[in-house]
Amino acid sequence: MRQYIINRLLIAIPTLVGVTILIFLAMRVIPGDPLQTIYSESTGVYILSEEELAEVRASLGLDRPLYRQYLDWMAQVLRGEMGYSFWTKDPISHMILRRGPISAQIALFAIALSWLIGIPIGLIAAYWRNSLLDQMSRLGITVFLAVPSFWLGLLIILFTVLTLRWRPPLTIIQFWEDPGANFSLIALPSMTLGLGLGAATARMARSAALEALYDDYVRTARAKGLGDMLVIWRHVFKNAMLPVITTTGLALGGLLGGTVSVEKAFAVPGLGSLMVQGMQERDWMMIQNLVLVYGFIYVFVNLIVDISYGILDPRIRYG
Amino acid sequence: MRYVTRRQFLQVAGVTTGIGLLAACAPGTTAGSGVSLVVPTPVPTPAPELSGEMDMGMMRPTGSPRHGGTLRTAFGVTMNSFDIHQGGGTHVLSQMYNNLVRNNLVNGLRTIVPDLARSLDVSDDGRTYTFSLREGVTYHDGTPFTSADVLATFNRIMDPPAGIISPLKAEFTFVEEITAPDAGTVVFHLSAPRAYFLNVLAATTGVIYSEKSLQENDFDLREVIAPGTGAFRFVEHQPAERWLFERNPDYWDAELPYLDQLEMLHVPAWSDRGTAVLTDKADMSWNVAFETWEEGDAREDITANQLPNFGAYWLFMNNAQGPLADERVRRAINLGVSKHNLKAAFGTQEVINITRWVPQGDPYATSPAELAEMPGYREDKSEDIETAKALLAAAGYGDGGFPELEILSASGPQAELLAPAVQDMLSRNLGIPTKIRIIERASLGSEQQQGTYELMVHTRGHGVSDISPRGNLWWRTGGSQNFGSYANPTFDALLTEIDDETEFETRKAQIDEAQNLLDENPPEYLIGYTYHLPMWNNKVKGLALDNRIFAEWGRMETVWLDV
Amino acid sequence: MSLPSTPLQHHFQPVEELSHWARRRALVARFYRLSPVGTWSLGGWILLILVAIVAPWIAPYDPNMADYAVVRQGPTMAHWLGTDNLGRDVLSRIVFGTRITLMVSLAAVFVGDFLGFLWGIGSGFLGHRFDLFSQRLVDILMSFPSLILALMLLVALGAGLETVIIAIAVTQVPSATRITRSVVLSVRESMYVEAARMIGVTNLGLMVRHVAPQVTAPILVVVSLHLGGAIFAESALSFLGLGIPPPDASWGNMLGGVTATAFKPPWWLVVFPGLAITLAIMAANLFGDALRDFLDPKLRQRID
Repeated sequence: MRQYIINRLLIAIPTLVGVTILIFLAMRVIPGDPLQTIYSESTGVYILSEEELAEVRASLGLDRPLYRQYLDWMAQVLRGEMGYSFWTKDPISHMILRRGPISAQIALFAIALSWLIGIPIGLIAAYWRNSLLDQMSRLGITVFLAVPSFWLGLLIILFTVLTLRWRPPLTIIQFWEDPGANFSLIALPSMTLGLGLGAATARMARSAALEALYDDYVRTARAKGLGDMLVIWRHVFKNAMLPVITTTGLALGGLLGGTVSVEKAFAVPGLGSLMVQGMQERDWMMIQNLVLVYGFIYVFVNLIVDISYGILDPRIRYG
Repeated sequence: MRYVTRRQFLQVAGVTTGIGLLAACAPGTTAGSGVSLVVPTPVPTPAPELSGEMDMGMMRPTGSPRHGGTLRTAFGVTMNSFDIHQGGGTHVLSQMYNNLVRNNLVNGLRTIVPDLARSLDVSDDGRTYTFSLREGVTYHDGTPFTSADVLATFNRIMDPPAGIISPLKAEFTFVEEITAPDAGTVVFHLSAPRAYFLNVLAATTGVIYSEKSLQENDFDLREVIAPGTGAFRFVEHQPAERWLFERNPDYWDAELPYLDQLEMLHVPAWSDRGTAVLTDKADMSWNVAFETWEEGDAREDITANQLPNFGAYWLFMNNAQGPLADERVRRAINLGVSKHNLKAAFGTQEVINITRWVPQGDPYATSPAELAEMPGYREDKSEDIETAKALLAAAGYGDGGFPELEILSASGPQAELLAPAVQDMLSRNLGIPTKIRIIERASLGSEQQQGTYELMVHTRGHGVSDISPRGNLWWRTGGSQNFGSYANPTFDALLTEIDDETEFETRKAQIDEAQNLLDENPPEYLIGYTYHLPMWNNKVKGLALDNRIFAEWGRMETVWLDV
Repeated sequence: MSLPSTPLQHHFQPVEELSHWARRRALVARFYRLSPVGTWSLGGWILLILVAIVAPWIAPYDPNMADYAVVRQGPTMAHWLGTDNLGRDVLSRIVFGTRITLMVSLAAVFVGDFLGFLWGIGSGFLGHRFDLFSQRLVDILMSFPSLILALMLLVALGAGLETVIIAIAVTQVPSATRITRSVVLSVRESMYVEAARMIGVTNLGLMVRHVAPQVTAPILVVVSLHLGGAIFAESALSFLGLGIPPPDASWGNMLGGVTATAFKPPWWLVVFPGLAITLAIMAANLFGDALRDFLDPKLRQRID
């Protein structure tokens, strides 16, 4: 097991290096230069002359050869620095630390919600297979697998603003600052994402539970006279959890992407809205570091999913 | 000795009192011209008392102001530098500083009053401005304020050291020299009189840094929040989230500021700033989305106003090549594209203020009543379109055959609303086929600089409404921001006269003529200046926001909270 | 590597000799028996394609024609689904949006999965260094959440119809490659490939004649399952303002931008385009599931 983890980590390193190179190259082909214009509400739009631009670029080290710029960036990242936004001049690492927790909370709450909704529905639907309950839940699953999360978000906003005249807070409020306000910031976005993910979870839980219910193991247990509910709890639930974790792990990519569009729909000041803003403004220093953060998180979490899979299912042997 | 260069305008100022009321009552319907101002509003005029006994710099709001409390504002402009003279965000930073003279906060910016200058003498030829400075003023770090600070500040703007980019440099081209005979006096020597010189100094960008902080930082304050002399002191900055300022207990006007704290929340999304005021997450915002403004206008506890602003949306034209090099084609486009329709299309975003080349809020602006009858500006387009078609025919595009033009636009509302509306009208009214290409705001500047565009929807504005600084930058042949390569020798000659003229009536006639020239041979298409839509909770007092004559995102030391 | 135009359909050729149409009908009937829902979903997609083709004839208005007199009006007799910020007819924009959305999603899926298919065959069949290198490259592409990869590519390439197709296609390549490769690996060792190798068939010949046909069924299923994801990706990218640029309508850009950031978005601008997206994705998902069960029930595990 330990060897497996070490191997996986070793494989992850060249992958991550490749990721950084891909990001770096993508950012260098961007047309347009965010440094060319100074926007200010008092002096208006000021467009730099070519000489002024060259000077600014040199001061940021952007006149150096590409490989040097790449190495500079890597050195920065390893030191935990990520440079400054071209537009706002804010330190990017600081913004990631401030906004990261909000996005992470949204993702984690969405996962928790998807399990809370998905597992019971899946088990119930499987237990009373082909009942009205089962058919209703299958319909629900089909619908929520198809509804785009950002649209669901817009519908929720439409409903809350029009009927309840309520909007979530606009500034970043961390959990440790004010749990209540923090919750009202992330509740709706994570609900929006959690419903779609819950549908995928329910579908997986249902089919896994069905398999388990007709498993010899369960039949034997039932024959041994264990209480029906206990059997389900012990065996079916345990067997269903494995595919549920896999589903969650596989859905993570979608979930991370989903936070971006849902944050935009709800105007949540998270990492995703920061990245979209950076993309719209070609703030490539910002984009390159944020995409890197998303890539790192994704690789790392996949690693954890793989490992936890191994722990939960002893049948898997690692070579 | 003369008090003022343009005290005549005070009369105009009297006429326009109550404009705020008028505008606030306007229902602001989305289509047509629901909102209209009746009178041109003047730029602030230097008060006669400037050199008198009474200290107009000591601004006192009406009512019975009380001390204390925190004001929360919602703003949305990103700030790319802390250096105001290198494009830094004055809406936030100006709270910490003083100018030499400034627009009067308590009378709706109708006059210019002394700030760090106690008084001013203008020589009879209008070329020498002598400022006597306040005594006993200190910066937040304890450094005393002297004429050396004024000198260091303006010399850096006019003659930036290597590596410093000075967007304001062009504003001071007529200043030959600044001298400081003693620690309490500064003299500006102008090459020719300039009617709007005090307006330049009074703009939010006219803050005075200390010589000490300039020298300590190699004259580059982009990453330094330098101490000021202002009413508020810097406390905290959460990047892209909020700024916190506190009362400066040693402020030279002992009565001010009334607030203990000033908290400025960065709310990037346009519509969210209004929402912040509506949901009591902020007490005020300088400019909110129209939808939220309408909502606030209908509320008892919230007041909303509509103020002329000096920034505009334009359809820039590259005069250098292709069909747009022909002034008849440019004029045809100016006649054939309806500003009223563009205003309707942009209705959810900003309220477009249909004006001529000189914006409303400037004393030389053409009145809306005249404008309503003018070709190109009137609502009924049928006659204009006929003229436009005839012009196109004369230019050789009579029976179609117009080559396809490309419209560049930044992504966002401009690309979604303005560009398609322009495209639709060019095609339907004039038969000019176009293709829209969406690029990012960042790329627009490069395209302008390199002249690699045909048509471009973009914003452009200037802190001073007067046509002189604008015309010299934007429309004079070879002007430093004349990216469309417009060249009109008649206009250039007239502009030179306008620059030096100080007599109001003469100058007004010249400027009218200049606007006619621009209408006949347009450098580009003006979609429209915008109104700013400030909105605030009723408890916010002391800023005379309901009575302002134009939008200024500036200082707030006279604000008090009525709670 | 290029594929000659050798027909790949012998996998589907039934043993008994039936007339062309009879075979078709039998196939459809079998599919319908297995999954009525899947068949209806297929019907829904055929309908969408028809709508896209005849859009100019069935749309009541020119989708880009602005009418400033009726800006932002709710559903009326003249405009069944209301008008947008420029007074354009929402129904006409949805109808024309079908063209863009279908073109983008179908093109992206076909291009992406076809590339993945070729790459997977090459990688699985050639093995060795090429396989190792390919798999590391796929690893890198898989290290990005797909929407974020597409966003990054769009920023680099600039927004436009073609670039949106490319960006979405790239996100489909890794999984198509992986699945194809895994099938190829099992086929490669099979007896008849060995036999073919023995009688002197070249690598290219083996890949084209013997391996590719085996992979066709799984890749068809992958295509149908990716379709829903591609529609989602198009709409999400356009919603975020980096997809299909104005003035042309796609379902996603009708929801994005001004509508998304409005304080009180007009409900008809939110509800109708979103419904179109949801129904199209739902139909694609249901058809994909049915096709998978139909072609190869065992695929379920490999693709899920």
